[in-house]
Amino acid sequence: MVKVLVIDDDEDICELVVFKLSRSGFEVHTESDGESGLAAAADLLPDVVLLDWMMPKLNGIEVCRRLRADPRTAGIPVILLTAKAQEGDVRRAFAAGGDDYIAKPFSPRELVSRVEALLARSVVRS
Amino acid sequence: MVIHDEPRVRSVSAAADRVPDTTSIAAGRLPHRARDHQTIKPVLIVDDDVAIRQLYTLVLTEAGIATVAVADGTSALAYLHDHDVSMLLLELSMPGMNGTEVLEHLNEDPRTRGLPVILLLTPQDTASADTEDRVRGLDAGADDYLVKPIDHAELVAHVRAVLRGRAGEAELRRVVDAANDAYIAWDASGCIIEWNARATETFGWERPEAIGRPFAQTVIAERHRHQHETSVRRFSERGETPLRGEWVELPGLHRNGHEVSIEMTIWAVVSAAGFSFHSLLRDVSHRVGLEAAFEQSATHRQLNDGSPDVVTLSDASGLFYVSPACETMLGYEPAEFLGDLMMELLFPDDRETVRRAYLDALDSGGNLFTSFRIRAKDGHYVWVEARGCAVREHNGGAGIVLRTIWRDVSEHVLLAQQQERATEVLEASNTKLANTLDREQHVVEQLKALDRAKSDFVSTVSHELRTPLTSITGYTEILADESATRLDADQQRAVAVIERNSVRLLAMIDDLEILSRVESGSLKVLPTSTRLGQLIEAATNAVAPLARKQELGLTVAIPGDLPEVLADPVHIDRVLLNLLSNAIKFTPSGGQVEVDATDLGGHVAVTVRDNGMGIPEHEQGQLFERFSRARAAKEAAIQGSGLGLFIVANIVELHGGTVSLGSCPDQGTEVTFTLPCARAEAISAIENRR
Repeated sequence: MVKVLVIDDDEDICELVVFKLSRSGFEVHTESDGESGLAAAADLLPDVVLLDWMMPKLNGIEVCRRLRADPRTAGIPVILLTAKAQEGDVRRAFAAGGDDYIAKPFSPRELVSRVEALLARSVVRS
Repeated sequence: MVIHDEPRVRSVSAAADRVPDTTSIAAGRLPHRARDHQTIKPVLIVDDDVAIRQLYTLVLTEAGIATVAVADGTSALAYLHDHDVSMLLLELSMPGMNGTEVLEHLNEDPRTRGLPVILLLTPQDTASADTEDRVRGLDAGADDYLVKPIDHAELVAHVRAVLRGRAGEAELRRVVDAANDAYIAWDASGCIIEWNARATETFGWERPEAIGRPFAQTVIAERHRHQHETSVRRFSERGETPLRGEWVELPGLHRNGHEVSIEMTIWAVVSAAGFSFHSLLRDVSHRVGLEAAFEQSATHRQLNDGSPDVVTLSDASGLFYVSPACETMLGYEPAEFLGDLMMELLFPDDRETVRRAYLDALDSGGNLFTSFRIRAKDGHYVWVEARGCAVREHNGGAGIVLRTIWRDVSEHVLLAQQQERATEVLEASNTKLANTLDREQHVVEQLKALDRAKSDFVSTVSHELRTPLTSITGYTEILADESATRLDADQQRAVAVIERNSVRLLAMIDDLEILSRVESGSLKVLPTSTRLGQLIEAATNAVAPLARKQELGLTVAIPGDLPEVLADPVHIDRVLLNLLSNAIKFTPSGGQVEVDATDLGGHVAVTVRDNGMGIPEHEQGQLFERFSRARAAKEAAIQGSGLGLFIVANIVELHGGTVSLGSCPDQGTEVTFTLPCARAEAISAIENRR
């Protein structure tokens, strides 16, 4: 079963993502802040990480950078969930090592297809 | 005391004939007091009786009175021709020329006319018809008479009385000689009878030379003589006062033939001997010279040719010349103004300053600069600025003349006062203005800060709204997708309403975000080669449900060969959605909304057209302002933030396109925007090469 790690400080969004992805056949884990998220990523070694950008303490960009810096997690595809959808923001997301981004509010349907598309790409890559 | 021996006197008298018989010895026999005071003139005794001569000589000498004695009238006159005497003791009845005749001769000669004479009479003289002689003698100028035999004490007393009178006269003479002005007197015939030291100084004649000379010919210049004589004659004949005691200026005559400017005042005295005229004369050449030189000078002509400045000349005695402009400046004629008037007219506070300024300049011979207020004839005060310089007298006088130019500076003073007040007011208002400016700058800073805070707030809020909206739209979608079969019709309608309003809320958040970016200047577009047709169709599809709901026709007309444009799809999508939703909002049911695109060559124009309520012309201009909404939209409670067209215009302009709006109330509205073609540059480059 494909493992998805969701790191978001908003409980409702975590629940929404879990609700949708688990019904679409994914194994979903959630963490509510950057540090526990990094620990969980290193521990679980998920197939995809859904990462919220705006979080207290460690923000999404920083978490993404550390995931890339850690050899264990460096290859895990990351989708940034962000309320920021402007050109500059997108650039920063990719610069930090993100593989894709989804602007809030997002359609759960679209989220599933993005995750599947990303997994397909990484399968092709690997 | 030695008594003259008769023979000797006689012999002298006989030998010298007309030579006084005591002259040669008188000096030696004069009392010591007389010798000590050689200026004291002797008494001339004229008597044919040698005993009488000896007796009187003895008596008077013993009384300390110098004497000279002669035996007859002819000798007396001869002596007087060359000598001064203090008085005469004159025997009336003498052989040859008698006393009366001597008196007449004395009166004829101005030099001897005033000489006191005591007539000596015999009892026969008084008793006989000679009384007439006596009276004639007195008439002819005798001051007194004595009848023989004369008591010795009486003789001495009479002589002393007369000499005292002479002494008083001498005192007077000294006073007159010491006078500052020339004093000249003349008799009815015009002959000079008095002449003081200053007269000598002024006219060059010594007193003895001047006495007896005709007054007019001696001291008055020929050109003025006739006038002078006429006025004197008028006085003599008709008693008209010629000069009324005034000082008049006239040309005088110096002995050397030069004219001397003089100021003269004349008065007349009536006595038994007839009129005598007396005058004080003053040399004013220094003034007249200056005035004349000045009046001839170009400066003077210039100044008098309409110059408002007043020229004054003054010396220690005050103003003596004021130029005619005086009348214009102060309303006084120059003549009125001379004398003491100036001081009276000065503003009391200025008097001391002005007096000091004039005195200082006169004392030092330096310059004068002062200003003062002076009352004009009509009562108003004139501010005068006076500049002067000292000019030495021409005619060797010791004094100094000040030439001063007065300028009316009232206007300047007023102007200066006004300017001062104006400056004060100006400074006050400047300060106020500066304060206001400071406050305004402060307010502007505050407003800018507020604006920034607002933009930040809008940005943050719109951002923060997205997270809760994610849960709402996410679950709504899941509800619609997964529970569709389990929801009844009402529930499905409820979910559809939630979904529709989530979309609207999101659109508003997007608008707010773009607004904050436009305001902070951070809105960026990334134009890429875009197929406009696809964007238009997508947008139209998105609003199709709305149009259907309002029963509007919605048509799209896009030519198949429409070139690609340079556009940021995300932003142009927003532009299209904004324009379409506006058209739908403002068009009543049954209306029509059309979208078309036209290739303009280099640009593509997209028009969204409706046949709705329209916008009055006066409201059209401000529609592209932020938060601007048409009045009808507000009245009809049509939803909207007033940001739509503002955002449309900003996005289109960032793409290098233009937006225009045409509308007619109740007929509809069309909005057209243009976008540059993707190959526009290439096309224009090709066209340029042709």
